[in-house]
Amino acid sequence: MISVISKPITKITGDTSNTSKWVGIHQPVEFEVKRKDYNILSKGGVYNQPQNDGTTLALTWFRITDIGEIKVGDVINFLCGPDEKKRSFTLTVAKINLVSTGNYSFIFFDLNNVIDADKITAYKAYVNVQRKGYYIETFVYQSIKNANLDLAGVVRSKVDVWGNAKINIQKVLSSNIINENKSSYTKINEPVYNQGGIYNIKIREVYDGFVGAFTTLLNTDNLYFVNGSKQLQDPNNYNFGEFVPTLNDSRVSKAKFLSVFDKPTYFNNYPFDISFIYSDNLLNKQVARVETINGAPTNTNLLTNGRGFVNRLKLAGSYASSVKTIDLHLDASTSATTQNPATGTGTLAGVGTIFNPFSPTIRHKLSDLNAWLEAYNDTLRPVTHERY
Amino acid sequence: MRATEIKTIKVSHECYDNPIYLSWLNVYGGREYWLFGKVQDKGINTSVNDTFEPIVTNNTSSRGYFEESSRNATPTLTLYANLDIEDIEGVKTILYSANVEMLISESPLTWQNVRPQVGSFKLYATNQTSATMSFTIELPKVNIQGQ
Repeated sequence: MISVISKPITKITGDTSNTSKWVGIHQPVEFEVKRKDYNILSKGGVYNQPQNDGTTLALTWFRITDIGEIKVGDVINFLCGPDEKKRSFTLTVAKINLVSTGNYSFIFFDLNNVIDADKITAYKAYVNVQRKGYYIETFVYQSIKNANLDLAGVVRSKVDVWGNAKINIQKVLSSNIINENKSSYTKINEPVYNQGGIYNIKIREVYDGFVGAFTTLLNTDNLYFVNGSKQLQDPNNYNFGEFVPTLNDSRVSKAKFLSVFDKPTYFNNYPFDISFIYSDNLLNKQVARVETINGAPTNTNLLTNGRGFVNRLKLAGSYASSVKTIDLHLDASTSATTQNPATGTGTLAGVGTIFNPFSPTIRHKLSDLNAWLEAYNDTLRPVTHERY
Repeated sequence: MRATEIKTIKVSHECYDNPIYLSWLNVYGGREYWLFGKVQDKGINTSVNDTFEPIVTNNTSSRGYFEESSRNATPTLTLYANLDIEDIEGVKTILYSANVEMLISESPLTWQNVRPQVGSFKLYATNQTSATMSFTIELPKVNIQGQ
C-alpha cells in the first residue's frame, strides 16, 4: 500500500491561518510517498515446525494486517522505529497462516534468524515485501490549454529501503507550458492558462507481474502552479505564498501582484493588465477590483470563472488627463458569492481528454524518451578496452 | 476586506512618435508592459550561411567565383528610453525574460515574438535619479531562398 505523506503546500509567512498550494514550476515540486505493505500487530512465541526428517525447526511468528499476497520464500524488509532509532533487517518467510475472518495473517520465520525481535514490536513496525522491479508510477494532470486537467506526463520512482520516495514532478509541469501572451484584453479579469493553474497527481505501485490500482483524482485535492521562479531569500521557499490572496485581516503583508515594477505604468489606451493569483482560498468569495483615484474608490466585481488560475486584471481605462496615479487592490467579501459558486467541480472538472499520441508535445516527450533509451543502452554495451 | 497589497499604477498620457509597445513575462509569471517612443535605430544583421566556389571551365563565359547557398538576415531595432531609476529596475527585467512580444496591431490584437540581444549592460550609476536605457531587440528573421 502506498500513500502520499507530504505535498508541496506551505503555511504562508505572515499569515497564521492560511496555507498556500501555489508553487513555481521551474523549481522542485516534490511529493513524499511512503510504501507500507503491512503493519505488524503483535509478536508471537516459539512454534516448533515438524520437518520431514523427524526433527523440528523452531519458528517465531508475527501477526500482520491484511491477508496479503505474501508467499513462503518471500524476502521481507522489517522496518521499525521512529526516525532517530530506525532499524531495518530482512527475513525470509518460512510459513504462513492466513486468518480469513480477522483480516490479518501470521507470518513465520526461522527463530534463529530473528534478531532484535523485541525491537520489531517496540515501535510501530511495518513490513515491505521485496518485489522485483518495484516502482511507484505517478500520473501528473495539469490544466495546460484550458480549465480541464489533461495528462501532462508520467514519473516513475524507486523507493528506498524504508519504502520512502521523493517524487519531483517539476519537469513534467514545466515541459508543457508555452510562454506566449494569451490574453484577449476584453474582460475585467481573465484566466491565462499558461501562466498558472491546477495540477494534481494519482499514484500506483507496479512490480513484476503486478500493476496496482490508482489513487483517486479528487477536485478537493487540487494543487496549483505558477509559471514562475522564486528568487533567493524570498519568503516561502519555492512556494508562491506571498502572492496568494487570503481572507485574513490580520495578515502582516498582504498578497502581492505578480509584477516586478514598484509602480507599473499604464500607457493610456494600450493593452494593459496586471497579473495576480486568483487563489483557491477565495473560491467562494466575491472578489472586487478597487481603483482609488484621488481618494475615491470604485469597486467592480470580478468574474468568477477564473478562480484557481493566474488571472490578468484589466484597469477601467479611459482616464481623464488629470489622473496621474491609481491605487489598485483587490477586495474580498467575507460572505459567499452567489454568482456561479465553485463547489470543487463544475468548471474545474476532473480529468479531461487523455493524451493524444500525435500531439507535438507528446512527440517531443517521445524523442526525450528515445534519447534516454540510447543513453541507457550505452551503459549496457560491453566495455571494450582501448589499446594504448 | 482587502486581500492584496495596494499597488500604485502610474498613468501615462504621453503621445509618442514612433511608439514601440512591448510585453514580457517576468520571473514570477506575471506579464509586464512598456511603451518606448520618440526614436529608435533600425538595423539589420546579416550573415552568410555557406559558400561554394564553382569550377571555371571557360574564362570567357564565367561569371565569377562567388556562389552562396544562402544568407541569414535578422532585422534589429535599438530602443532608447530616459527613465526614472525605479522604472529601470522594472524595465531591465525584459533583458532576461523568457518571452518578449511586440504589439503589431491593436485591432485585431496581434503580437510578434522579439528577442532582446544578450550582453553586458550598464544600467545607471547609483547616484543618478534617472538614466537613459538602451538595448537592441531582434525581430523575426527574413525568409530567404536557400540551397
